[in-house]
Amino acid sequence: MPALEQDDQHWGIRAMEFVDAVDSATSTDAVTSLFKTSIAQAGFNAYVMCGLPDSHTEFRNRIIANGWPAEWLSIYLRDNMAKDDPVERHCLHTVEPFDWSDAPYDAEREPKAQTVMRRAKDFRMAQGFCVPIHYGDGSGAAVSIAGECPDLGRGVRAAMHLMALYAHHRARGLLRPAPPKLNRLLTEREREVLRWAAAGKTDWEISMILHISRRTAHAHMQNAARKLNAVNRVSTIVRALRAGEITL
Amino acid sequence: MSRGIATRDRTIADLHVITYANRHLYEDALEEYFRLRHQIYVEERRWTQLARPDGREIDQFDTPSTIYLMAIEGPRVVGSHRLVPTSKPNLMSDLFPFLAMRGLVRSPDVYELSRVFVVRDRRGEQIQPRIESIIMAGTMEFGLIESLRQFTIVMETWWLPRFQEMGWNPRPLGVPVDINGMNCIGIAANVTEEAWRETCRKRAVDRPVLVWNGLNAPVLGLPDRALRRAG
Repeated sequence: MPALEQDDQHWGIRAMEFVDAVDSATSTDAVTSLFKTSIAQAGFNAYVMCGLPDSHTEFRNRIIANGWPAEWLSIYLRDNMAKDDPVERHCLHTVEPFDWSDAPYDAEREPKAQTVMRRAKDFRMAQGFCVPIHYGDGSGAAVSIAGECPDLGRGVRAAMHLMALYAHHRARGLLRPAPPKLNRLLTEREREVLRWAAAGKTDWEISMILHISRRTAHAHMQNAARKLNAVNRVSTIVRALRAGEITL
Repeated sequence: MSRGIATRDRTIADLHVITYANRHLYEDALEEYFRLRHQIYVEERRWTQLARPDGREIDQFDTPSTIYLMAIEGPRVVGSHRLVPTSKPNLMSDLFPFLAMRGLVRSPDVYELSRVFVVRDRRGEQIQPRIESIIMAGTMEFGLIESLRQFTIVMETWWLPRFQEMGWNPRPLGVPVDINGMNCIGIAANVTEEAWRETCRKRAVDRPVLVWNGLNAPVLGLPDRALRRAG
């Protein structure tokens, strides 16, 4: 059974605190700033978060958060290095985080791949660590961090892995447009009737509770069903819950 | 055996709640279930330490307190999720306590999820809702109806983004650790209406999926969370 040493423990605590901190971050800048500071503690001075390569999106349009040296990004884009980058490619083939040095390529047959890795070294990105993120529907993202001589011990890796997953999730969530405000379709009376129906009351019982006629209670249910496009009582209740019109 | 809810285009599988109280109604399904677990976990995923000579994958956490959510379509079991109360022995407490850096969760209103699977020929389908979606939405539905507070899960870390994407807001209980060559993490997810709604919305589940044959829901007798909130 793997035991956590002192150092690993510190990294573990730091990573957990990071997750708590990004959760309350209110801007992508806050997230990336926190991320940048945290990875720097292990000697990582550059990072990038981007969508996974696909057949139709250029690298520049896949960038979620950019922490690369400006000149490096400029060269990378100018020379279209994404298509030759073995790290980019390897993200599609694995679900596990990996060292840049483990991203496979044939130095002889793929000189451009070697060029990408070699040029990165010019920008103090000699060693890197990449966390692929697959959502399960074929899409996903990757978080890549690099430094000159970063700490890649077990405790650091686990911490970086965890921080990358949560930093990316938060950044992505903040980038998405806010969900549309709940559009209230139902009247207060219709919601009231539905709440009791959700608690298992019949139309008759509801009419007793609310001091209305059974016909009226039924009419409220019908109207709610129509507005929610529901086919029956259960469906009306479920759709009302799902739309946030009522709560359990 | 229920045929499932029929829709215009296809029959959606039901998710049957199986507890000690109604398991006598599901003897055949449970036999099929344990054999499927062996096929999928031992033969397919190669978790050979779970292998048993009788071809049924049963472990020390399959007890009378265990609840199974069984996706059944026609006569077949097509998927499942296992729920074990954290107030009893569970994977994290007994096998992987080092995944819970801040201490183990042990509470009758927190259940550990494990052994999720979908049979091979029903995975990755185009038509929605997929069996996996029914299982996930149904699990959160179960949590809401039974007034559970949280679910804990020991999972391979690469699954974490999938739970994030679904809207479960999984919180890490510790850092990822390599277990038998697999990178794993322990997480806890709060049972909330928001999580259920988001799962249903994201995964095209538009109705409750749970079936309670021979049971009167809620079955666990936990204090009603809605009442607790108001009180």
